[in-house]
Amino acid sequence: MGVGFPARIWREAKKEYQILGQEGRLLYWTTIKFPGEGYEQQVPYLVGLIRLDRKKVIGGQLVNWQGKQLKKGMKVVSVPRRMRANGQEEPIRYGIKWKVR
Amino acid sequence: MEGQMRGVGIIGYGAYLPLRRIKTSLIAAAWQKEGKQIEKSLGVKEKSVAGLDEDSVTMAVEASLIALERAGIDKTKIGAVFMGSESHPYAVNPSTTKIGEILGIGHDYFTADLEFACKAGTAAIQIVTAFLLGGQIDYGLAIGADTAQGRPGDALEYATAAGAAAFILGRKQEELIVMINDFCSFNSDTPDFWRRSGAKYPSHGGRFTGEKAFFRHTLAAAERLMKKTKTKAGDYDYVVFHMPNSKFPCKAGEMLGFNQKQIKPGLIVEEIGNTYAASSLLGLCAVLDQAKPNQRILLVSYGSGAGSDAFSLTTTAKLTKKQKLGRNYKSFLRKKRYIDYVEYLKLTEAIRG
Repeated sequence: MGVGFPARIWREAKKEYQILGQEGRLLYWTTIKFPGEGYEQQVPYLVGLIRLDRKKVIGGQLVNWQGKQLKKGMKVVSVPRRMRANGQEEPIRYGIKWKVR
Repeated sequence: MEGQMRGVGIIGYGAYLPLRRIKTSLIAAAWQKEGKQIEKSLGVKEKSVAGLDEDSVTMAVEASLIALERAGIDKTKIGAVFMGSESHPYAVNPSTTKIGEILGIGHDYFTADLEFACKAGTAAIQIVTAFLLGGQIDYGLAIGADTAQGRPGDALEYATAAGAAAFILGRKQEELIVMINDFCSFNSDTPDFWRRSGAKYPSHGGRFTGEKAFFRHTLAAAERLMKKTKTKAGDYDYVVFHMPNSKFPCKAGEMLGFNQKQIKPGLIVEEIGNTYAASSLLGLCAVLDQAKPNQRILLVSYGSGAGSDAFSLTTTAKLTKKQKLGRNYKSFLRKKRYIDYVEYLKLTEAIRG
């Protein structure tokens, strides 16, 4: 089932929206220079691991990070964003990315 | 109070601007034009630019979160969501259901996307107000949001910007931070500015967008509202207009008898550009951030095609406490990052890799 398939978008997005507006701490991050499908226009971008609480660690793309000195433990907050470009005719996948405070 | 609409008004408001800015002078330099002259002529120094992964929906959600924080209500009690934009992400498939889903407001709400150029956001406020007055809902969400498009090299390119403003409206007197005293609308078929279906960029009638379009409708709506509410310019503490540039709203204000002290707090276009359906609403947010209790505001939007919505508003004593909640408008002006013209073309998808 392709990433742009409506049922997949519908199923995945609902789960992600539940963490909208939550704060976390940045644990690790890396720069993506060879992107996955649909992320070509965003290169280079950062993905990171974010600790939400003692038990939960979540991965996600970082936004608003340029020009910032990233440090382990930095506060990040989840914000709504378009996840990837699926061409001009496929449905848009909205989701959560992490804004560096 | 004259024409008070039985206790309907604003209980929460929120603004959102994206991080990036581009200076007018940089755009001018790309086209070998005189930047300082254009900056002075338009009264626009720089404008906001949305990220590649932002659009009217994401910005509307960001503004709505701040509005909800200020309102302090159970979001599942929102009974209507209306959003005005010229840049809805889909031509068919509503922005509002995505906003409702992302915010988690449930499924029981009246909703539709609106389009009336730069006055679609104020139209959203009028519609939600009507639902409240009819007793159909307890709370409603009205949004104006745009990632405005300007053709590279066209005059519009200097000002077309991105932003969102959201308002939670309610009908419990004890919750209101701004009362809606009355409103009206003045419209006509005027082809000053348009974007045909399928076209990427809008077109406009040059100087025809002035006297016969912006000024005719803005002045008519304001005059009709002041007549309806038996008020005059001197009765208001603030006036906020739609802002395609700095000159038009200043001139309209002066023609109606307002002074710079009333106009300036809501005149925000110089630093962010024209955010289309969010323009007058962001001006209102800027005013609400500094207004004191029992102050009067005249809000007049303008949308090409053409029409103006005018509102008479009065702040309440509850506004002061709510101003301290959530991010204020000026914080978005402090946090910004400048980009060059090539990055601007990439972010507006005028060029692609």
